[in-house]
Amino acid sequence: MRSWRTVILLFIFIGFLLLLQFFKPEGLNLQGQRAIVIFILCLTLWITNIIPLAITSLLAIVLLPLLGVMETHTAFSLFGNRAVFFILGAFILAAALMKSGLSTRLALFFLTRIKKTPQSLLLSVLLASAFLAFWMPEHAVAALMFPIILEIARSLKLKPRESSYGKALFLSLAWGAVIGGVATFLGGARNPLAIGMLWEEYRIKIGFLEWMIAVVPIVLVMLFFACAVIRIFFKIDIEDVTMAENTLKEKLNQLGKMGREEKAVGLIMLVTIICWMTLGNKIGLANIAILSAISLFVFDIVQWKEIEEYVNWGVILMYGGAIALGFALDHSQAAEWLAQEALSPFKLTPFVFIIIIAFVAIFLTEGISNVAAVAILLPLGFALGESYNLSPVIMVYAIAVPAGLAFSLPMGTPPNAICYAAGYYRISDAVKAGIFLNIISWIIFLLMTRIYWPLIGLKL
Amino acid sequence: MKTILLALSTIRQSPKTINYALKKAKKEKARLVILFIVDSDLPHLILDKMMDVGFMGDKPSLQLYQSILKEYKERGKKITEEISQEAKSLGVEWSTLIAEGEFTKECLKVIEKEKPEKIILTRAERSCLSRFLFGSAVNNLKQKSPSPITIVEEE
Repeated sequence: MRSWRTVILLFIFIGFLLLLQFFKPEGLNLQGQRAIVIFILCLTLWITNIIPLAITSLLAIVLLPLLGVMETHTAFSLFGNRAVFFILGAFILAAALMKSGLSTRLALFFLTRIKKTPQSLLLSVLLASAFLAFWMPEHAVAALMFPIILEIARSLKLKPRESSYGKALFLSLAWGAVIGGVATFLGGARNPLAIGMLWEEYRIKIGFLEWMIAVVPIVLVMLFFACAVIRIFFKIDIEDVTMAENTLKEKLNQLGKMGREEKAVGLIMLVTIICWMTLGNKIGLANIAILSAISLFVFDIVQWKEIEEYVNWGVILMYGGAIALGFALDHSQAAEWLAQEALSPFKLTPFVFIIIIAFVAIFLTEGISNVAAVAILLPLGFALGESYNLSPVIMVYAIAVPAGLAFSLPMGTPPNAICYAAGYYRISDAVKAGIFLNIISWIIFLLMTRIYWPLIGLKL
Repeated sequence: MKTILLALSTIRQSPKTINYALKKAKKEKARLVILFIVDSDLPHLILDKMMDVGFMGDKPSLQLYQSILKEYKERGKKITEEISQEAKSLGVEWSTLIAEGEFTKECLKVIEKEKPEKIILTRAERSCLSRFLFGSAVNNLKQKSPSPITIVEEE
C-alpha cells in the first residue's frame, strides 16, 4: 500500500510538471494557465486523498505565490477570510456542546419523546439526527448518536447484517445527519466555505436566516422521502421496541439533572443562534461566532485544553486554502476561460445547467469529501453561471446543498462511514437504497428550485 | 490429534462456514481452534476520516474508535462462545482465541503457533475485478499459509 502511494504521488508530481511545461492554451494568460495546473493538482490530491485534505490546501497556498499566480501576502491573507473564522467559532461551540454532554441529553430527549413503535423509533432517530445536525457538524452528530443507537440495537437483540430493522436504524442515523447537515451553516462546513467563496469573488453575503429559509423546506421534504425510502427498502422485522424505550429512559436518567455547564452552553448557543438570525448581516456571522466562543472561556465553561482535544485545527488550513484557490481561478480569468471552453459546444437553458451541476455535485460527493466537492465545483460554477446570467447566490445553493447529500458510499461522508462501521448493513444495502435516495433528493431539489425558490425571490 | 483452524473476523464470518468447520472437525476427530480477529482496519479508517475529513479533534475521534472496537470485541466474544457451545454439544474438542489487528498477519501468527493441518475461512461474494483492485486478505493468506486452506464462500 505504501509503495503504491509513492508511485501515485510520483505520477501526480510528473503530471504536474508536464502540465506546467506544456499546458499553454491560446487565449489564456500565464497566471490563468498556472492557476488551472495548480487546480488540477489539488483536485487530484483531494479526490485520491493521498495526502490529508488540509495539507493539499496548504500546498495550494504555497504554490499560488511561488508560481506567480498571486502575491504571497494576498494568498496568506485569505486564511483570514471571515468564513474560516466562522467555521472556527462554530467548531468551538460544537465542541462545548459535546464536552458538556448537552448534545447527548438533547439526542436522548428527542428519542424518548415519541410514543414508541418500531416505525416511530426509526422516525425519531432520523429526526433527532437531522435536528442536531442543524446546530452542530453532521459527523459530530453521528459520533455522539452512534453509541446510543448501538445500545438500542443491542437491547432489541438485532443481529448485525441479518436484521433488516438494524439496517434501517443505522441508515436513519446516517441519512438524518446528512440531510440535516445542509439546513444551516453549522451542519457542514462546506456551506460557510461556499459563502466565503461568494464573498471573496462577488462581495455578496447570504444571511443565516436567508439560507435557512431557502433550504429548510427542501430538507423537510427530503426527510419525509428518506423515511419512505427506508420503509420501502427495509422491512420492519420486529414488533416491539419496549426494550429500546427502557434503555433510552435509563440512559437519560443516568445523566441526572442538567448541570451548570450544560445550562450555560445551552444559553450561549441559543443566544448565538438568535444573533446569527437577527444580527448576522449587520455585525457579521464570524464576529458572533468568535464572540460566543470567547464567552465560553470568559464564563469558565470550557478550558483551552479541552477545546484543543475536540477541534482539529486542520480545518483552518483546509478552508483557507480552498478559498485562496477559488480566488486565484477567478482573478486570473482561468475560471472564465474554463467556462467558455466547457460551454462552447453546448447551448443549454439556465435550468438545464442547474440540473447538470446539481447532478454532478450530488454524485461527486459520493466519492470524495463534500468540502472538496464544493472547493472543486464552485469556482467553475460561478464562471459557468455568469454565462447563463445566473446569480452567484443561486450557484452557491445549487452546488453546496447537493454536495452535502451523500447517501450511498461510506467514503462519501463521515456519518456514512461511522454507521457502516457498526456492521449492521453491507455496502450493497446502502448503495441500493442510497442511490434511489440520491436521485429522489436531486429531483426534490430541482422541483423546489422551480416551485419554492421563486416565491422567496430566488429566480433562475 | 489433527488440528483444524477456523479463522473468522468482524467482517469475515458466516453460519455456513461455522457449520462446515464443526462438521469437519467432528468427522475427522480433530481439535478445532476457533480464531476470531477483531478487524481494526475499519475503525482506523473511521478515525482517520473523522480527523482528516471531519476535522474533529483527538478526543471524540478516539472515543468513537474505542466504541467501535469495543463493540467488535464483544461480538467476537459472543460468536466464539456460541461456536464453543456447538462444539461441546457435538463432542468436538476445541479452544478459542481472540486477536486484534490485521487479518492476514494475525492468522499467520496463530498458524505458526498451532500448526493446523487445515484452515477454514469464509469469503464474501465479490467480483474478481474488485479483488484485483482492492486486494483480498483471504487470497493473501492463501499465498502465505504453510497449511492448506478451504474457503467457504459466504451466501
